[in-house]
Amino acid sequence: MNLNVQRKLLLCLWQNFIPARKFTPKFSLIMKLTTVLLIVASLQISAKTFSQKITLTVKNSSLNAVLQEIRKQSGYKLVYNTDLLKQAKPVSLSVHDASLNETLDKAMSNQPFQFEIEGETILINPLFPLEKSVKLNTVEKIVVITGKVVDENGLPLPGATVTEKGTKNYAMTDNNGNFTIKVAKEGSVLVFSFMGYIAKEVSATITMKVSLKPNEQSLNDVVVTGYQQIKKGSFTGSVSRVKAADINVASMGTLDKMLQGQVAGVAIETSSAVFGTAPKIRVRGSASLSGVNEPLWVLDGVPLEAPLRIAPSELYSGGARNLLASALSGVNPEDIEDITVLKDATATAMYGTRAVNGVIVITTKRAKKSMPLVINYSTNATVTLKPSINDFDVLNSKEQTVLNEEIFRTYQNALMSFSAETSGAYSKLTYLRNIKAVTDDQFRNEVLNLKTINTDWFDYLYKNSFLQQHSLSASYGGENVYGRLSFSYYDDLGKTLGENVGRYTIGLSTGIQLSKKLSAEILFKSSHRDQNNPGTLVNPFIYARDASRNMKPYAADGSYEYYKRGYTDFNIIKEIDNNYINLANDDILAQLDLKYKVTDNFRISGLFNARVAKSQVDEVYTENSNYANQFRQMGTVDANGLSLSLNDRNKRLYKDPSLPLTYPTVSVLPTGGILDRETSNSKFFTSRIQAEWSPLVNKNGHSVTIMGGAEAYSNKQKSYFSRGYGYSTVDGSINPSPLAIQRLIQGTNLPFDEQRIPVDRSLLATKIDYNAPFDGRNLLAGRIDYNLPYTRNTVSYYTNGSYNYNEKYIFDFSLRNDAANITLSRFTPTWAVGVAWNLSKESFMAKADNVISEIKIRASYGLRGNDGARGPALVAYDGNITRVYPQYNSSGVNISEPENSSLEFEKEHIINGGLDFTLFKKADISFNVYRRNNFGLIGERQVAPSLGYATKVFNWANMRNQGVELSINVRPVQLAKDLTFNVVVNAAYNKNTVLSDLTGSKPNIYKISDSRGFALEGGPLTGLYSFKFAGLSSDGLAQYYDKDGKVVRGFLSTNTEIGNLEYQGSREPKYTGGFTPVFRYKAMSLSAAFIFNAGHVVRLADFYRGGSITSLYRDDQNSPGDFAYRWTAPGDERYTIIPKLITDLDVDHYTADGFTGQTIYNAYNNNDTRTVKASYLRFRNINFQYNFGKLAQRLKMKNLSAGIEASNIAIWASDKLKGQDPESLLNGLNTPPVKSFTFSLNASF
Amino acid sequence: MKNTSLNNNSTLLKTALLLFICTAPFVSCKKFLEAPIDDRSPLTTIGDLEKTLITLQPYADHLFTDMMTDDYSYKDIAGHVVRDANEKIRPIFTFAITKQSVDKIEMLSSGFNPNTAFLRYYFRINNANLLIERANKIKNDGGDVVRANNVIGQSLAIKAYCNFMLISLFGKQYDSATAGTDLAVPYIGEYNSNAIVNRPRATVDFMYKQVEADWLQALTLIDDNNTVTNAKFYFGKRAIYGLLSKLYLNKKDWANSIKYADLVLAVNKVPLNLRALRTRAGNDSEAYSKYYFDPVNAPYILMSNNTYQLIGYFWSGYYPYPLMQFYGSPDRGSFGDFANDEMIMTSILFSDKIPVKYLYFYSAANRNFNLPLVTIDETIFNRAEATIQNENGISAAIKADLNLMIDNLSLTTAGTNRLKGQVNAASTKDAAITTLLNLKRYRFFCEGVRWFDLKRYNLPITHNYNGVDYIIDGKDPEAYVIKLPLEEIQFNPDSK
Repeated sequence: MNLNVQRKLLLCLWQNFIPARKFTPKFSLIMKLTTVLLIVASLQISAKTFSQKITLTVKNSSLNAVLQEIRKQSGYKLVYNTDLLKQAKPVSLSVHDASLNETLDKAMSNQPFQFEIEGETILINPLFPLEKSVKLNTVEKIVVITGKVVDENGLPLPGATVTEKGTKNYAMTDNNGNFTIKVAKEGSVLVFSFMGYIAKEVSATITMKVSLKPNEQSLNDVVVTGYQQIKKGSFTGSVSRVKAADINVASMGTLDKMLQGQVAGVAIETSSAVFGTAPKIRVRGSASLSGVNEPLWVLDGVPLEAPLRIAPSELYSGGARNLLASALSGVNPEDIEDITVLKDATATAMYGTRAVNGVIVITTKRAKKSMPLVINYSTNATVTLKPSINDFDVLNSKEQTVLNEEIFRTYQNALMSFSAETSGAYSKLTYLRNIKAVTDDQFRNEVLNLKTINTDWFDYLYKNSFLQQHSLSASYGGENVYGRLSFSYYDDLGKTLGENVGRYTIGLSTGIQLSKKLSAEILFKSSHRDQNNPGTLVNPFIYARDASRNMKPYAADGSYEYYKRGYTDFNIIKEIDNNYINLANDDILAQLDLKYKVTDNFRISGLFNARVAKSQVDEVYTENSNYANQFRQMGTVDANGLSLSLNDRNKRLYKDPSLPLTYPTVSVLPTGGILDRETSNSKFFTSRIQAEWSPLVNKNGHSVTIMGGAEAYSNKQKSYFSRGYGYSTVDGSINPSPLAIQRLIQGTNLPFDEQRIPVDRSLLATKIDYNAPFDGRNLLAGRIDYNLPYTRNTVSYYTNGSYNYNEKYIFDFSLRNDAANITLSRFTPTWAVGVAWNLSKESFMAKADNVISEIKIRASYGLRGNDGARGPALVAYDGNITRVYPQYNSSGVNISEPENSSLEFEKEHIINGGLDFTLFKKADISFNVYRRNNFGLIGERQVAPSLGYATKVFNWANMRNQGVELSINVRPVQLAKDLTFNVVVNAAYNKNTVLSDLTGSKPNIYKISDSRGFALEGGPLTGLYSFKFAGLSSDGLAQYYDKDGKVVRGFLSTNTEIGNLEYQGSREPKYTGGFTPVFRYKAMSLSAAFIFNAGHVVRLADFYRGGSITSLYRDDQNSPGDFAYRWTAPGDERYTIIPKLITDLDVDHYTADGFTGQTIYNAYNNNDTRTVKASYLRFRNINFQYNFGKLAQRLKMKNLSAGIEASNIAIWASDKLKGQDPESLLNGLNTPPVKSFTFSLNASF
Repeated sequence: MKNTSLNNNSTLLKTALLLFICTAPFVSCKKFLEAPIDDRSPLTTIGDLEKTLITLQPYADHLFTDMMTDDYSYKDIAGHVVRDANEKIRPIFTFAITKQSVDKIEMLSSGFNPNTAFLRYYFRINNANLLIERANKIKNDGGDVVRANNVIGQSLAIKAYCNFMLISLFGKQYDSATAGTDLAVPYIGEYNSNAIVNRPRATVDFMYKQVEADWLQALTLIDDNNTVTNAKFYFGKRAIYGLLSKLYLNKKDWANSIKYADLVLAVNKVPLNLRALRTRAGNDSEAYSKYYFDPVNAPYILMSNNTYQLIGYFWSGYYPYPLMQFYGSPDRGSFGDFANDEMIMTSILFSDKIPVKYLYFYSAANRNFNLPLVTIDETIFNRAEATIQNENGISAAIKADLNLMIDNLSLTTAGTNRLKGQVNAASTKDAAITTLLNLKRYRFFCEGVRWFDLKRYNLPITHNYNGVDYIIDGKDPEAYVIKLPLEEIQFNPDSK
């Protein structure tokens, strides 16, 4: 039956909602899978042995007992109505080796029942058939019950369900909460239920009023740690719990991004809105300098990791691998019941050396025992809006063209030898004039035209897009078997050109009561994702923001307008068509939980979880892409003979080093494109065995629970990357170019994008992160492909003991010991202790109960670890030795890091104090204060060079995080008749301080002034340090104060005097939080989410892009609006802080003073006037819901509601940011969120 | 009721069994916690160790010393010169590094400086110790003794070479009277997996003894038939003979120096024939450069290795004018004078001079050039020098050797004859040594040889920079000692 319903529904879906183009093949796949799953599920139930012979002697025994014994002996399944069986008469019988039929005949001889055997099931029915009885009920019901269902404040609950217990007879309340139901007799039991409220059973009276309590209380009754479910009353840790339904924002796709601003102490920065990328999440601050700072995700009791291991250093780099960075991208948000954030030592104790960054436990929805079949369908459709260039402060066409002209005049000398690697509108015209393709007059006219173009690139590269999601689930609960099956489909047509995502998920959870004592739960989850994105080198957002507005995408005749990039023709729209990423990801998870109740006080449980994730990420550069064409752009092809020495300059061309100098460069890719393919295969296994014993259960008030267990975890990953030169999109094959391989092997001067160093590209110049799994190796040196295997095996054992006296005084301790292969099987113990005092249980508090109730004071202290970093073993890899005489190339083993036998996990002592209470039974308030002392942080430290290394990796740095958290949940307050209001507010303050001097390697001040912040002793991990601007000189050049307050023109690149810089604040917010007000009026509700981050600073985007003057020559890029206010004539220095266009002569003067290259520009880029307060308040979304109670009733539906939502509505931040999003880290493929509107529908049957 | 409990027990058993099956593969297997993390090399097999040897071969890191010799002068005329670079290089030039410890930040970041050399030599020494330990373990565990011994021998050779270069740069010239008390550099005798081990400076005498012992032991262990390490990029026995000859020359143990040079030259005595190379290269300067350092020059190169370093200082305001002056116009080569033939201008605008022999590496935009560490040519000179010292004068045989070297230079007949005349006219020991050192200056200019000759003989050096003379007057052997890098002094308290 289930299946039929689903079939019908899916068919309907297929016909009405989903574009058939995509769904058809997948549809049949899902159906097949469903069938298989259902068969598998039903097999679980009947996997027993059958015996036809029954021996039984009873006297005056209850029919129930007899039937149970028959069931046990026969192995048949028994289906009957418990209420019905109450009418049974005592049974006396004696059979020996009798058949099942015979035995049943005897047992039922004088009962008002009949039995039927169907397959291996015994059905016990009343003497008339069940179908008739239902009909009878509906026809013969004579008692009409009317009533009203209200909440605890007396407000009506529209759409609540009223069911006559034990029957299929039900009714629903109307908009005023009124209902009418016909029942067999007065006194029949009615079950009242409503989503989010605790169901209630009441005997029927002719008129009745029933009030339901919201189940927020019940939700908070239990704390789910992933290992245990602990009664909140006897828990001493600090946790926050939110319901998934409350935070769901349809347009965000994955849960991790939705959590922003919802939990006190959890700071989330959405670094990119691209599906699959991970937001930056910090639970109570950062704990590591170089290792993992992200919290651990736990799904239904088992840690959930990203499908691909991504090093901390590459997490926000915008590389193609980042599409797989979010652990939650395969989880349908509709399947999630609630989220628990574990924050302190006690709460996270069971996660030992992975606990330091906090743990976020996700529980998925389950069916319950004895529940009717509920089919739920929900869908939503989102339209997104295009951003506009007017939101950003950049020069318009006119200003830009004027600036271009001035730059070309000012830098004539430099531009003469500046390679025309890129060109924009102005340089294109100049070139045409130079080759006499246009006359001087035409040139002047064209330049005039440029001033009016004003292209808004967002208009071309973004689209008003459509996103739809469909979720369908069916839940059913029998006495012994219950289950939930869900499907979902997510289809995002993309906000920008070249972007789209399709995701399918299937989830099945089955609970089986195998016997009175043994129960099992089987979980199965699977997801498939297809995603397309523009290539990592053509980010539409960055292009739209940065491209000069005097360029245009199309020529007058509608053809593409080309400019130069990499010496060859480039058009962004064409390039997005020809440089794209295709991702396919499959994720399958199966989990078995077994619980065995030996006695009421002693339970054993086991868990086995296996997950396989496979992905393929292809970055394609077609044969027509600008990128591929760069490889064949020779200087000589220019008919006008103006190619100069292009052949030598174009780094994509190749000169065989084994040939003499005089040999010309050649193309290694005369035809075809390039395919970068990364395939990965990850396997995760977790198995756990655990026992829980309660030796004392409220014995004279004393209760003791002891839990212990052991766990093994394994994660094996293989990823393989290959770069195929000569890729053909026609047949998908690679026609390999031997020269391309030779170039990779012998070329020592390859552009960065052809090296495979997986760290943030913008940091390449200064930093190679040693913690990257590839140790900063250029993995493509000497090869076109590589394997990156990774294995992490851990074994742990753990124990927890908890004592309480009358749930008044609670004491709790935990111990855990972890060993991993990365630490050479060395065990690392971690522990936690917690105490709590439930003040409200004290008699003296009883009087104050109406004012202040449920008061609990908590404290915990513990040690936890962070095992993300490398172990003590030597790090040495095979690599290629390339030589100037290529015939002597060989392979060798490179030792990159020494053994350090004392290296351990990073650790932390965390102390937490907490106070929870309820005020006037209206507001639940939770307050936490904590201090985290992070020690043994792994970092590189300078050592004596006689040890063979300039730096070594040590446990040596210390850091401190301290803060407070406040969350207030105001329960619904009646503002007027039928109008209620409730709000959840949370706020947190965290102060991070680095306690060790990390400057052992004497970083220069330019490194310290990094826009991402720098860790100096006494400051935060991401402290922003700036040069002190001292105004412009009379010749329009920037000046700074040095450490003595003297005005200087710059600082040497070797300068290490920190006093020359000024600390301006932390890059990470100190204050985080959000609030979610909800108004309810009758069947309507209106909710909103506001998020704030405050107390931090951010630096404006570089004034001199890339820290060099040459970026100014790039007339394909626009210029910051600041350029309009630049110094142009003596005297201007009194009014502006924007320097003049620096001339060659100025550069000479700078050089004469020792200020060279980047120092001139970076000092200005990083001066204190470019720092802006980054505090902001984001109006993230507003949501209106309407519940169609009456309609649903008419349609015999359990529930029907619809809603509309607007997201990313507004952000209030400093004006000085000028459109720069204070959150997003924009590079690679990252893009910020855009405004969107969502319509949603939810129906239950 | 019995039935029920039995049922329960069997369920319990089933559960237990299932859990055991789930958990057993992980916890029962000790290997589970010893699984390799990734594809890193555990350095446990003899093959791994052999592959590591190649990455531990030393570079020509001593090349920076050329800038302190009398071959170079500095002219602050190049407008395009990176000023920072000048400031970083100047301390070397002004001999600051022989007066005080200098921070690496004060050095040209791209390499060639004493701090980089110091670090690279110690990287090799520490990891050579690691290889020795691992190879011994393999040997003790019943592994291939010949191959393990070869790894140990190779590692000893690397370690000894690095130690020898360290004493030559950072230690006083060996003087038997004071070597027992003259402090050189920290000696790293064994592998230690601790992150920090402080070690005191060892004496020059101690270091020399260790180097000598290591090389001698290496000779007994190295397997010249090993197909991996018998290439020109490894120290073979013959290369070690050459090094020993050099070691004893420094110790003034003339007999042993001659003995080991003889062992090298007994196989063959074919130095690099620059004259023939010139003819072969025709007008192609780059080809000449390429042939010059080609490992295929089997007779000449005993051991060479790619040195990964930008050879930046050649165009950073350092001009080999004194060297060109020394050559002088009478010694015109077959293709013109020295200035145009052995040195070329790479930029007319700024008068950059670059030795033709480095042109190939320069034009390949490559930070990578193959420099020999041990050569037959140098061994011939070493033997000649030891013999002159030993015999207190110059013999006919040595004159023949030196004339052979002159014949191999690419000079005009007049130039050749003038040099040969000097050789033949050298009647005293001192005159013979002076002539020999001059010949070496002709033969090895810009190859990092000159500084050590100046140091051995306490020859004076004078430089002028911005009107100030920087002088080593040749009276104090300490004046040639480069002080330990500042980082070493700061982070290894025992090295003070």
